[in-house]
Amino acid sequence: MFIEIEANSAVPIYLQLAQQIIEGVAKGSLKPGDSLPSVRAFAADLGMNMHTVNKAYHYLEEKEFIRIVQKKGVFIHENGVHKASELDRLRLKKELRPIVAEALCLQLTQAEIELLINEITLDLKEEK
Amino acid sequence: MAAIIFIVILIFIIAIQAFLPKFLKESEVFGIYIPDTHVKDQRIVHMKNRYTQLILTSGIIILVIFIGWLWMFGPAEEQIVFFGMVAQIGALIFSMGLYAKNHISLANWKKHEKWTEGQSERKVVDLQFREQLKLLPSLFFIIPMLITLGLGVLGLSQYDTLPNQIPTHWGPSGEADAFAEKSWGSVSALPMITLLLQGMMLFFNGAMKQSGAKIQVRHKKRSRQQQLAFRKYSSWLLFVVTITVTVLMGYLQLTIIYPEIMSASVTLGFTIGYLVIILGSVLYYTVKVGQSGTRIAVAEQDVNPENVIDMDDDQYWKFGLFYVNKDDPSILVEKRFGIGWTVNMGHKGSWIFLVLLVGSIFLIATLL
Repeated sequence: MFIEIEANSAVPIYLQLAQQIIEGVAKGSLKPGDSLPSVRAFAADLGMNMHTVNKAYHYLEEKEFIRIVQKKGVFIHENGVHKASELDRLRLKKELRPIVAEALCLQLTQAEIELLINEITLDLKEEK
Repeated sequence: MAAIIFIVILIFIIAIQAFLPKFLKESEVFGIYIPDTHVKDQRIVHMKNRYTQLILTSGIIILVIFIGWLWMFGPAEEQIVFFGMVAQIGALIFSMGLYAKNHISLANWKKHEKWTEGQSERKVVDLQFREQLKLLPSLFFIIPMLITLGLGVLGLSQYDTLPNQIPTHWGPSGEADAFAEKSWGSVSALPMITLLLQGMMLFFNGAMKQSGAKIQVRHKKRSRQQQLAFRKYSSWLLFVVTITVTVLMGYLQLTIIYPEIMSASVTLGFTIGYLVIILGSVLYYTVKVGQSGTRIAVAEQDVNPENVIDMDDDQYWKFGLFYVNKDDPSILVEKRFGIGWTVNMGHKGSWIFLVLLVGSIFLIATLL
């Protein structure tokens, strides 16, 4: 699976890395147990500092998307895809809130916001 | 004989310099990153052709003068060696000067005409690249080292029966023409130099695994296949060099230990065989693989996205020749102007490697 980093984006590089790996898991192109490159190899491919990759990996580890096994490598977590708990639901709601707020400021109707979400979901499910 | 060797090498250097731009990526011209939108720019095409013409013309002039001088004066061998070197250096300086001129003009066009503006710069990583990469295992490079080590030990074990003069240099006819007093150092010098070369090959093969893959945003699948192939062929080339060096040096070491098997014609045969195999493999590598594998045909088609270009990393390439990037953990990186590899000068490991290399050469030289 390819990952594409935008050099001059407002989104920090580590977040771009993490978000694209999450997308990969959502699309199914990354399956639980699949291995990811080592920090050194990943940073070499990017031509960037190892800290950036480390940061992305720790972010993903915290969210239980990956498992870092010392000396063995980095793998997609078995729990990468799982039924959302009440806690997960609350967290997503909280994270979504400012975006919905921004959409309302832009005078989008509820139907329009739903349409956006539908489009994104379709896009993620379609591209395998 | 020396004259023929110099003429062959000179032709080789001139041809490589002259046609080099034709074997390089379209996206890197004279050490400058050219975004996809400008690779077909007529000025660039013209500049490359002009470079080839000028290098060829100057090269032919140098060759004609050199051959004319040989033919008119029939100089002594030392003179041939000296002026042969001068001719080689002259050809190289001329092409370097021309390179510098083109490098600067291209950099200026790119800056003033803002070639990368309005495009989104992207960096692409293939998460499975390392899993697909097929390099030769380190063992392939360690076994020849063990053979050389064995020959070194054999030499020392026969120390008492060895003649008092140890050959250290062989002339163009295959006869030993320089000798050193017998000592532990002079008996082991050849295996030590060989081990150093083999160690370098082992190191390069390992560093290649860690080197960052350069995948192009507009040709993801194609460039991935080419990168994989490029690294595989590079690994094999290192192996061919290791084997031929081991055989040639091993033979020479045996002739030191058992002078009775020494024959000038066999030595000459081994040397010529060595040169032919090395030059042949390099030529094959250049023509078949090209820079970063760009000459390898790939069947897979890419969908080319609009308005995206590869990240501009000119800032890390000093004069387009030296890669200096403190953040990049790669020690080896693909060359920009040339086919093959160069080291990341911003990495500690490169400096440690260079210091070790120079140090060991110095150590061996003082031992002799």
